[in-house]
Amino acid sequence: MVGFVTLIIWGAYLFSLYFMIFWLIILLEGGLKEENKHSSLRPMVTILIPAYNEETTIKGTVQSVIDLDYPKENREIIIVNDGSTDNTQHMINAFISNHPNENIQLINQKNQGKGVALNTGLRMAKGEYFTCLDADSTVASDCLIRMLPHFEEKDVAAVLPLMKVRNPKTLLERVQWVEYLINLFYKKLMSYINCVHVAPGPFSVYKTQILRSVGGFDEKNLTEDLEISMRLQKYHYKIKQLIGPEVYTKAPKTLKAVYKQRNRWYKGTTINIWKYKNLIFNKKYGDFGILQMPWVILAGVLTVILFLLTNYHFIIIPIKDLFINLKAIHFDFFVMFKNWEIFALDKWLFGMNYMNVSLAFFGLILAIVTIYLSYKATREKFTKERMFITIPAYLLIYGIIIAIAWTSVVIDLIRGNVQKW
Amino acid sequence: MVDPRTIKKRRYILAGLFTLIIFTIGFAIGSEFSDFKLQELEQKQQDLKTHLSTMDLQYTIVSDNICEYVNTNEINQELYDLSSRLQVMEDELGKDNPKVLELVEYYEVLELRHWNLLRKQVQECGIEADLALYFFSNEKGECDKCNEQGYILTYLKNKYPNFVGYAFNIHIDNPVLNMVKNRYNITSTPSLVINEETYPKFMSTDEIEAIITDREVVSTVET
Repeated sequence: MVGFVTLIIWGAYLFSLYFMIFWLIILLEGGLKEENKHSSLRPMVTILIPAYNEETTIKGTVQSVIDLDYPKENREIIIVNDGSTDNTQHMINAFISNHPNENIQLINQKNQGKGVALNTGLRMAKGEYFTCLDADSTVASDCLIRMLPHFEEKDVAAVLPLMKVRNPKTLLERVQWVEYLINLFYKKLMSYINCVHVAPGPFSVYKTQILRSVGGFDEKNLTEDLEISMRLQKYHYKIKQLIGPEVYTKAPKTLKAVYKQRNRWYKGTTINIWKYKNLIFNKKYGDFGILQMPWVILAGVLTVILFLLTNYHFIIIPIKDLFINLKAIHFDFFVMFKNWEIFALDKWLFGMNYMNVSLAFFGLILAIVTIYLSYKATREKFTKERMFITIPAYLLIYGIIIAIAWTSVVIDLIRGNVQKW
Repeated sequence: MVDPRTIKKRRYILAGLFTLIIFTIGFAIGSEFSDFKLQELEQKQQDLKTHLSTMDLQYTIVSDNICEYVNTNEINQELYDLSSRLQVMEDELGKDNPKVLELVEYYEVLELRHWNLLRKQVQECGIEADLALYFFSNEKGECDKCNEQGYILTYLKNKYPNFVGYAFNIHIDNPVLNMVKNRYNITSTPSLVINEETYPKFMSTDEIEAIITDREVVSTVET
């Protein structure tokens, strides 16, 4: 008889396997192919930089925009200082004074959150295209020129660049760097069948007119980038992920910061999935409705269930039992351990559940193939350090961080604890 | 106006098919190994049966001098090995699996044969050993203390070389097991029979130790 926990684990495995295989099919259909489009047209582009207490990074961010390989007369830079309490305003003013030939405007507003800052910029924007660059991100100089030609395709409302973690140093940053590459790999495949559900903050380029026609950004939303993407999907617009042009963003440096960021992301995901629940399993929305929307929420639900169940059954209960048992023998460990047959290979081999072992093996192979393809697609190299430290750390740590963040989101939502941005 | 979306069903079906294939392969490998493990267990039990029969025969042939010829130590370890492997199969295939139940029944009969031989040695050869029969239940909610009791007995087995414990699932329906249960009046779990005395309750480490250290310990039987 198969236990309840085993059934849940198998179910989660089946779902995950299904989706992994589905995306590999898309890959075989040519989902990673990207045409290097060129255009001689240089339409007006508005680049918005919302900044809140970014005195250390703002200069680099604006400089990377100035360095963009794009005619300065066809771009406007709007910096929205969202009530910074540090030296951000002073830094920006100094920068503007030093670059008198650049079209840079500074808007100072009281702190109202990123959504409001985005809409402030959107209202003022003169550009045919509108993009936002978070103040903790920088952009490659050829980014814009390579992205804009992709709007020639019909119904494209947003084009997204390849986002990488900038100078990952610590293991935690490097693990996030792997995660970004894998996410990008999947997003590229999702883009092939118009299933992208989030256009991240750093340098996602939108058609200004479409953005305005759907009502701009949701100012009260916890993850306004995810919300606008779902809204664009609702109106059947296309969101195109590219893997050529690159932007670089800062990854949270501490576990606490990662947890905080993920908690906000996943909470935002849950809230927005609920907001657009009528898209779920709705054939009218094609693969996005049938596959992507259910998967996004299912992945979260499965993660939480698996995390709680496996922890309960494989950690809490055994520890509780062990404690009761050890108490019964007055914690006389040594007598129990002296007969431990840890090196009895035959018993160890006999004790293995080969169905689970083989299923885990297939899963691991698929995961490694996915990571390899992600590296290849994003032009990264498989160095020894990455193979033996970063990737194993990613495989071991990432799931735990994600599971803790998802579980905390469920707890927060049950308790009605929804934070602001 | 934007274009309506389309779904290519072929992709979904293909993904489902490949998922099913991988899962089936995993399942087939798992069940192949389970069969293999069951066969290995059967073989081990068969070997043990032969071993015990040999001892039985030795016992009969040299009945006037059994204490010199019959040595049960080796078998003790074999029994222990079998029990841990049976545990693996119970976890893997379930405690109610007919094949597992069959193996458990057979194992318990072997345990009784070993117990019986050792008991005779204790009586006739002056070997000083403490023999414990332990009756447990795996049924949910029936025996909350069984896990703990089993752990205590393992601990005592490790601590005292001449303490030998035999565990029996009270629900195994077998004539010889039933006979032993009746003889020692076993009706509930956990129940213990230590040196022929029945204790129909959970017994702490101290309680059992008091019984087995009450006698002079002579390490003639090693487990």
